[in-house]
Amino acid sequence: MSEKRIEDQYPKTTVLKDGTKVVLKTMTHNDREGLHEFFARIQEEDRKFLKHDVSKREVIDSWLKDINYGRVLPLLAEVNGKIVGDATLHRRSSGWLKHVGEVRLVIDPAYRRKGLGSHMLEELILIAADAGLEKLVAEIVAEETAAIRAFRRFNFEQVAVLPGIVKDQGGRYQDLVVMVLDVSTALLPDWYYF
Amino acid sequence: MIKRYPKRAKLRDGTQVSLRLMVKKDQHALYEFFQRVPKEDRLFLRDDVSKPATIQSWVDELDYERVLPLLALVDGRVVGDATLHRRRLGWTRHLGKVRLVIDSRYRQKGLGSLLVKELLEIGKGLKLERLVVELTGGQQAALAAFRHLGFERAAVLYRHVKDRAGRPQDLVILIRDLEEEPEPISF
Repeated sequence: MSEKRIEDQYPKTTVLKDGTKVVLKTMTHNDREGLHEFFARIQEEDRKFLKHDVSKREVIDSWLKDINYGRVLPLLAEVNGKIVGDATLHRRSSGWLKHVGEVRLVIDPAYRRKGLGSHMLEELILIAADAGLEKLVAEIVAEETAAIRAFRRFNFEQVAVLPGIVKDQGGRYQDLVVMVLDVSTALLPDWYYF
Repeated sequence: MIKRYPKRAKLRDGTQVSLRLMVKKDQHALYEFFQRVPKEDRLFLRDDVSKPATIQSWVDELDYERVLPLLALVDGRVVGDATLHRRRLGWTRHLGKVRLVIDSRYRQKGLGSLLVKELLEIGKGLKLERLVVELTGGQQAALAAFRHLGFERAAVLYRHVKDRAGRPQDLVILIRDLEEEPEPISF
């Protein structure tokens, strides 16, 4: 996943099921305010199930401080210049997890059920395959059943549940579901195969 | 936390070891330590410690808030390396991750247990709630040792990681609660 190639691919435009035009692009330093506004629009009950407390400015600032697409590739979806989705692919340059990427996905509530999440996940899977990653991992709080179902549609499989291991942003202990996709068996949408 | 060290301890066979936090000038000694770790053991380490660049990056990024590296030394030579990894942000900030490597000549003398017990105390002092260890399925002796110290197997990720030889290995996740002491083994 060289930065050159990523920059060649994005930005690109796509159309959602309801006809909304979405621009997919990589995150840059200019997205600071847009990201703050995006996460402020995510309701608290969703936000508490995210890995990081995105209501804190320092969290978002820390992402922007060292942007390195080889380590974290952040893909943003924009509608009329407003961020409506954030999908990231995390990877390691060395060690026993070098062949494994991790995906995280947050979608604006007003843009759910329109295929945006699926579209962004497809992009990440294709980028991962291109980069030679063999597996993708998604870690999801067990209560997030809709997200778990969505990942399963791409052939992510639940491989473990770590009971009470994470503390959500409300301070409650939650089970963490670990889902793994063998990239070579990913179920991509029809347009990809035809 | 840092005030606990340096300190001295005695192993089961009487060997005197000193324990202290790693500093930047340990780079060369650490590199030599990992060279002495048998190749078949190195296969199962998370990072490729045979590369000077790996050790260099640890030294360059030395930050006790993120990684607390505890070294065991005998006559000035590193014989054990135990690290406690923490995250400042996010839903795992109440957890600490433990990694441990012991010189093959200093195994079965209680050195590994000694270092892990130090990390348990450090973890409690830092108000961490649980410690997590990740091992490959092939590391049977280490698995048994951690279980003996109260770590419980929480999950096994089938063929999830790749060893240095590129072979897939199971990843075993072990967890130990710091707040409640496990039941003592009575036999």
